[in-house]
Amino acid sequence: MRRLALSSAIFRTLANELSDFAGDYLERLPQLPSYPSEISGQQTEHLFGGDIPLEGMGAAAFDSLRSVFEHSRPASPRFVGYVFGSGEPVGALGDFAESVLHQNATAWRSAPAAVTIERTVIRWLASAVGCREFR
Amino acid sequence: MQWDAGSLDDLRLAHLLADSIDSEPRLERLAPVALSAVCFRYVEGGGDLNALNRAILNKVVRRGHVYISNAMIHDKFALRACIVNHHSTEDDVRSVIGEVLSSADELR
Repeated sequence: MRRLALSSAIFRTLANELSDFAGDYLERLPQLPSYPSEISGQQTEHLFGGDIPLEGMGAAAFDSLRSVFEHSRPASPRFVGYVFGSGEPVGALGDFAESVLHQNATAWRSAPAAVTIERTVIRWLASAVGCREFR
Repeated sequence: MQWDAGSLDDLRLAHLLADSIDSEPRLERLAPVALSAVCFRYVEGGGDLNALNRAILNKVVRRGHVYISNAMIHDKFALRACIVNHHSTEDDVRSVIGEVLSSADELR
């Protein structure tokens, strides 16, 4: 196996762990502080500013995931800073599935389902803002 | 909840926040609330209000109860709450005012 590739078994293990991690986080999200306490630029630089890894990291690439979440501004119900997407958990699952499919949605021949779905969603959005004739 | 009901509820909460600001003499609203954004500032005590409100913004964010942002409106530094989160409740939105006033008290 090439060093950058994950085995199917490790992928399944990681995906299950990440799923549980995400579920736990989403359950705690409404009660979390709206900003990480005592966070500083030096701290995040120290944690995440390391050198490029020249060897494939495998599952270890996820070792700092908890720290990444702890040093992030949560999408809390008390976040009223900027316009953002809904952040609904189902959207995260959709992103996951989309990344697994990994399409180039530039032409129907390249991404038959995705191109059709994209046009469908644009039609839905147009309809939602009153442009019902959009095709 | 349907998506359009969620959007309408966000607009209701934005107006609720605007009304609460208008009835609080220590705060001044800086723009009409046409959609989701509510821009205002703390005015009691006078002085360099831009510097004061910049400090208030930093304090509010660091206190970790609500996260708001900012805008410049006719050279006035505005605190900005943008209500587009369908998980936000009336209490969440009202807490913006309490956090701004408490932060100002800490700075004064």
